[in-house]
Amino acid sequence: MIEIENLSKSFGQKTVLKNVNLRLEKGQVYGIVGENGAGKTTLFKCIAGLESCTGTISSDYLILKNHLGFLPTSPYFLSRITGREYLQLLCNARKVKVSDFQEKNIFELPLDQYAETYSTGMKKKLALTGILLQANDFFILDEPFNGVDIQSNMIITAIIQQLKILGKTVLISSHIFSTLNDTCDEIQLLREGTFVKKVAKADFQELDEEMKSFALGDRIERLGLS
Amino acid sequence: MFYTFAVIFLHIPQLTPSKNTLLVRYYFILQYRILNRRLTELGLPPILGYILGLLAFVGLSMYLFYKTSYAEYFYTLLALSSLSRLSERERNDFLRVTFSMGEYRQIRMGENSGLVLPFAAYLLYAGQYALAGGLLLSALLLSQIQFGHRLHFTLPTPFFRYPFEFTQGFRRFWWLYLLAYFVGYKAVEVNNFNLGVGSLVFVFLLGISHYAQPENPYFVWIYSSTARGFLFKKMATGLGYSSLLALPLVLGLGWHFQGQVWILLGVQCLGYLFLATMLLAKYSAFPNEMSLPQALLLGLSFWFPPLLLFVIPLFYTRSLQRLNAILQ
Repeated sequence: MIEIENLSKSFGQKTVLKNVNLRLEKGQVYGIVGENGAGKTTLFKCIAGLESCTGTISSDYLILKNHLGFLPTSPYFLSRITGREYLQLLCNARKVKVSDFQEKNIFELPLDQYAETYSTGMKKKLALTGILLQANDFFILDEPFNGVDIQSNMIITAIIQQLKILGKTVLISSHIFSTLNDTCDEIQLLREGTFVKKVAKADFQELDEEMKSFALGDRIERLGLS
Repeated sequence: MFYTFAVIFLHIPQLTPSKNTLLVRYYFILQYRILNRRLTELGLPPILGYILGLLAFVGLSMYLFYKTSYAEYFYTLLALSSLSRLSERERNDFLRVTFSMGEYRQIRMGENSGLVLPFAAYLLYAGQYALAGGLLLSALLLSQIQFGHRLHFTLPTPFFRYPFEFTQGFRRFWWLYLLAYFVGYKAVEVNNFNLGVGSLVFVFLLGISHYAQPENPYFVWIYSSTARGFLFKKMATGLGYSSLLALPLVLGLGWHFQGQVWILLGVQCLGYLFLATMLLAKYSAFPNEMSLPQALLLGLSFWFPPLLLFVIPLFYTRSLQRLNAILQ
């Protein structure tokens, strides 16, 4: 279990997160939705410990990040490092021994090419493979479906469902509502750094409608297209 | 140094500047502003930064020519290798899509010639007229070449077990390692022990350079170890891999200059010590780049090794503090 209480974060005068509270249980998949700039990525970085913040984050682990796999929106890569070496580095970091990366290469990536030459989707798939091989208990996936082809989208959805069966905790953000619908047990709506709504699976459709209505408003009319 | 010349370029009066010239000039103005901001971030007034940069460049050049037998060739190679970053594919792609072909060529020629100009000036001062001319000409020719396409070929390395510093560094500077081995071979051929020591020092300097830039904090964050454990693991990898790269030289030179094996081993030990210090210096500022005082301290301790007794514990303590903030 992970409990986040009164988490706040500011960049200078600008407050990005305001007293965020969140409780994450084992074997559950949580979705976070919100507009660009709502604070999703900052929240994820704060939970991971990649950004400093105020408030408390408590968990069953002595050091949460040692059991956490973080997939950033745009994964980070080192220059002149192959896909295989990237996976080796991630496994070394967590003292995980993997004898055959090719067998684990479910996205059929060209592991002997430099990772920096991969396409956006391939980079995302490589980074996801890396954190899955680390045998983490808790996963933060920031836009895991962005830039990924439809087949891989289905594979990622199946992976998340399998993680849930294995009792892992997953926190996802996505702008593709249907993917959240297929994977999440609960979705939180983040607006201007605060959770404004928590929705259970039964009410996902209602949330989708509400978000569409909020996003569109009268914007199209204001354009005055003719 | 390149930017010092860029500054001069910016102030060259033009009576009727064309649109092309204005765009190119604006590009260099932006580079000049970026440099000023970086100097300010280092806590230096830009003008002082330029003066210190110039003094350091001249001082190091003089030192190199005073200490090394083939300084002019090494110096020319150093100047040419400094151009490689400017030829990287991504930045060149950006320049190509942002500017017209004519502007792109002007920018690249300006950058390359600006970067090697101080080296060429010093070569002229040292009486190496042919090398100075050749350097400028090569810089202009290299400005039309992109080094990005080599990324489609993966250079194999013996460092796959523990990536990344040596894996990355070897792929970037493999030709300099080859050069060091060639110099070592020549040292044996001409029976010049000092040249051999120079080649060994060069291999260690290359290894040290692999730790010059801080990586993205994510690649530290992923480790499930203490700061101390992280540093020792990094150090063990660095020392192991630098030993592997130095081995052909140590064996070859040791076999030929049997009476001076102890000197070679002493140089190797000093190389290990410098490598460990560089690693600690990098993490003592992490995730930022080293500040100017830190860089000066590092430079001083390389110049006067007894200072390492004071510098290593200092960098080590600071590294632990910096890494604990990310790893705990």
